[in-house]
Amino acid sequence: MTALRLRATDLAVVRCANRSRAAWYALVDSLKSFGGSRAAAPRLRPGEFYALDGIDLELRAGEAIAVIGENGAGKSTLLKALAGTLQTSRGEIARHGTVGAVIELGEGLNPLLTGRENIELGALLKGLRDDEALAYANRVFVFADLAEAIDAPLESYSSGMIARLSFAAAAMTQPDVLLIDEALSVGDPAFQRKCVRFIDDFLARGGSILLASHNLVQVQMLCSQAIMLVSGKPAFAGSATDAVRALVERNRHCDRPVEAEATSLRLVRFGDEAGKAVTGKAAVLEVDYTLDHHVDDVCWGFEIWTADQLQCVTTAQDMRGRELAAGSGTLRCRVDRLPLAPGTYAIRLNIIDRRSGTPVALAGFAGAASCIVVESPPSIASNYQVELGQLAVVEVSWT
Amino acid sequence: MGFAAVGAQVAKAWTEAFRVGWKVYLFHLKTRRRRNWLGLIWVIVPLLAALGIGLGLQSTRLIGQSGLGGLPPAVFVLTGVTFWQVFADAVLMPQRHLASFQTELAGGHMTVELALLVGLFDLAFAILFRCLFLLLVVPLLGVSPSLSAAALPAFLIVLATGGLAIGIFAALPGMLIDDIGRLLAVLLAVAMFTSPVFYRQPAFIPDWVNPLAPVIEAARASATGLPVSVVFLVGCVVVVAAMLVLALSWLKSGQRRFLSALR
Repeated sequence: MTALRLRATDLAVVRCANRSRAAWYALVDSLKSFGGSRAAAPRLRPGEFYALDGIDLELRAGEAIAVIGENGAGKSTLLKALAGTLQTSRGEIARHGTVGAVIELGEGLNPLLTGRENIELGALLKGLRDDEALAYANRVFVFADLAEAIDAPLESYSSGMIARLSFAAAAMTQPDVLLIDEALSVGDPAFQRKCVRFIDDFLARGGSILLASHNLVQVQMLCSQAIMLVSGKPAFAGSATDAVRALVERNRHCDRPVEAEATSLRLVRFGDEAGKAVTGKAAVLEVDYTLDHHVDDVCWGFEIWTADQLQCVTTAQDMRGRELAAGSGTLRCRVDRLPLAPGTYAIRLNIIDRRSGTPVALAGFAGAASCIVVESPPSIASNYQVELGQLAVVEVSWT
Repeated sequence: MGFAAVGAQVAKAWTEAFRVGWKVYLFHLKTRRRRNWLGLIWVIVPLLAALGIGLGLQSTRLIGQSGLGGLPPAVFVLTGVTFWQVFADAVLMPQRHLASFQTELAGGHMTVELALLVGLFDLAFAILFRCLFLLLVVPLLGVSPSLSAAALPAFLIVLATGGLAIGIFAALPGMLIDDIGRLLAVLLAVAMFTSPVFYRQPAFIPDWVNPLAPVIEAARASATGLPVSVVFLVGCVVVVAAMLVLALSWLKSGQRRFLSALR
């Protein structure tokens, strides 16, 4: 097992949404502490909330862990607490080695100074000796690759240029642990690729990374493990692909099948023997019907719609004319390789008169449709499909 | 670890802090120069204004020398404004500097102590400049300094240190609440008019109401050749040193809480 770089135990951060109140609490707490009274056990006061609660984390050399979650989940707060810039309300953080952070791009850079001056000032604030500062500045200049813009005031920089400089400034300190918050999602694509290559090298050299990001593909590509935060609490911790799956599942709009309208057509099965539909696997659709009279020259089929029923994904209509006797029966069809991306879909069923196109029996058109859930084991590809809300999966063979 | 080793460590830490603080100060000056057209001229402007007001009062004879302890009005006002400015600058410096380095502080790129150290360089240069200005101009206005002028730097440091201690107490909450800065400005204005800046402190206001008044009077005495009490000076040094220790303890105990609320 590689060396431990960072450990957080039962970490909690209490914050106050109201700035005036936060100032008042800080004043009261500081006065109490100044007066020599011991800090009371964390107890929420009006307006306070747990921005982080019960976080346990271990980061080892050469390891990259992702922190994922929706906006406001506590990702940046966690990184700030681990970087030491935010006071924790409970728990312990043990740092073994130096920690560098790219948390808010451009923060700490002075817009009136040039890029070069900002880097020199940064080296000074990091406490580097003159020779170290010179070497550091040169590494930053090379990595940021801003050419002559390095001598222009920062206020003339684009956001992408600031991102370059910020990332380079943090990364080139050569820390043991690098905390990155969304920094890889800005800047031009070429620079993003450069950052990713840097991270690969950094990890190979034994560096450790904690990456907070909304880019779920990047998270899975760079990190082996991930922690998913929901309202500041750890909701999932495990492999990055499983964590991403947990996140995207959580974000689905329609997360359970709904009852179809009462009709003479009823979906009884879609999927394998157990009724489980899996992308790329065989699936069987079974529909029970009840007719009060004999019909001839009818055809039937189904339509697959998005869960919100705004977009039709595909249809499968058997246009051959058939006869159906009065009474109940079952229609059955087989899909050899289900081309649907993981997600939730609505199914509409129909039996129509082939000649006139008029409906004989319908399900899901006027009322609630049956929902089906198509699954796919967590993988980078399937998570990407879910994240982007893809509907179909095309099977291809590259040559 | 012996005293010598501890002393060496402290000296090393101070030297390093001074080295970093000085370079950051130079960057700070560079930034400020890019925002100002007049730069250092702003240090002398209040003094020239005070000199102008004093000369104006002197020419109109609205205030007689007898009411000013025998000093010409121009000298009285110039010294009063100078000492007041030293005190007020010191009170406002911590908040101004924490505000100007707010993004660096919020991001954890700079410590509060370093931000204040940069401000101290500013303060020190302003005091030095004002001290020299006084010593050059006062004789031109007909008042000859004496050996008591040797105490002038000490009184200026007392004024600055006292102001600094008050400013440090106010600066931490002032980072979050703008009212603190406004309140300070109002209090300073009130304090100025109850201090012997433009006129002697009215007799009905006892010294304990405004402890600054005797310090300003003593500093004025040292700049104008009048005798000063060494005991009083030592007492002032002890009091402001205690105030500074308290202020630094407050800074140490409170800064993380206030900075966390900022982040």
